[in-house]
Amino acid sequence: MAAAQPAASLEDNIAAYDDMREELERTSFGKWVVFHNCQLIGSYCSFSEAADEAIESFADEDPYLIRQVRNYPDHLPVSALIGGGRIANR
Amino acid sequence: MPIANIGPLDRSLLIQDGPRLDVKIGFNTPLKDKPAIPALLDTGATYCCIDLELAGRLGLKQIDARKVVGAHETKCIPFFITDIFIPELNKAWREEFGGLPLEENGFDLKVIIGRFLLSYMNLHYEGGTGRVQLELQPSET
Repeated sequence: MAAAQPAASLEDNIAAYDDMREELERTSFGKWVVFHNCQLIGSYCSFSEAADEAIESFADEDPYLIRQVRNYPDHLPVSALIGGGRIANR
Repeated sequence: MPIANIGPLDRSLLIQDGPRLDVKIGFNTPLKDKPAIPALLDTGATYCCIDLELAGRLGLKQIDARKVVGAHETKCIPFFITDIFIPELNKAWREEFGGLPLEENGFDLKVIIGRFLLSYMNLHYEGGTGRVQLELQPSET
């Protein structure tokens, strides 16, 4: 019997998302989507719903992608870059 | 409605340190007995962030890597499923946290609370007195 195929990597799942991005922006804008083995598993109203489903459905070591379908950039916290908190050991 | 008083009640300290509160972090595990970790509230951040070394130590599950925009640069960072508990509000959430080398960069905190998590709360910030309060949205109680 052939050995089971390893699950697709996170990078492969991101590539699968990129391939479907335009369609997802039309059909699931604002939703959280889960990709596993380069397949769209589902779309969900919140990150926690998507994560609960993925944790329940896939093995701990299996890579999967959870991403919100949106077309605006994420912003890094300015505080983390320019010292909005105290700088340690100063 | 649960309210957390998190301000230092000192204008200068609030300017210096920003609004901070204790949180407990993990992945798919009970959180109430975990050690408390101080976190900074940062309305300039889209999402929450965690120190990369701490994320690895806690065994957080990576579920994305994507470009984010900062004041100085655009970079690709990992994202993790993260369970977070705020003891003062007695409330836990499962959220996406971005991973940043906070400690390596000399930042003195390992957790930053961004707007995604803050969307579940009302933030009252009195700059003049150093009084800061967090209150759960009615839908979260």
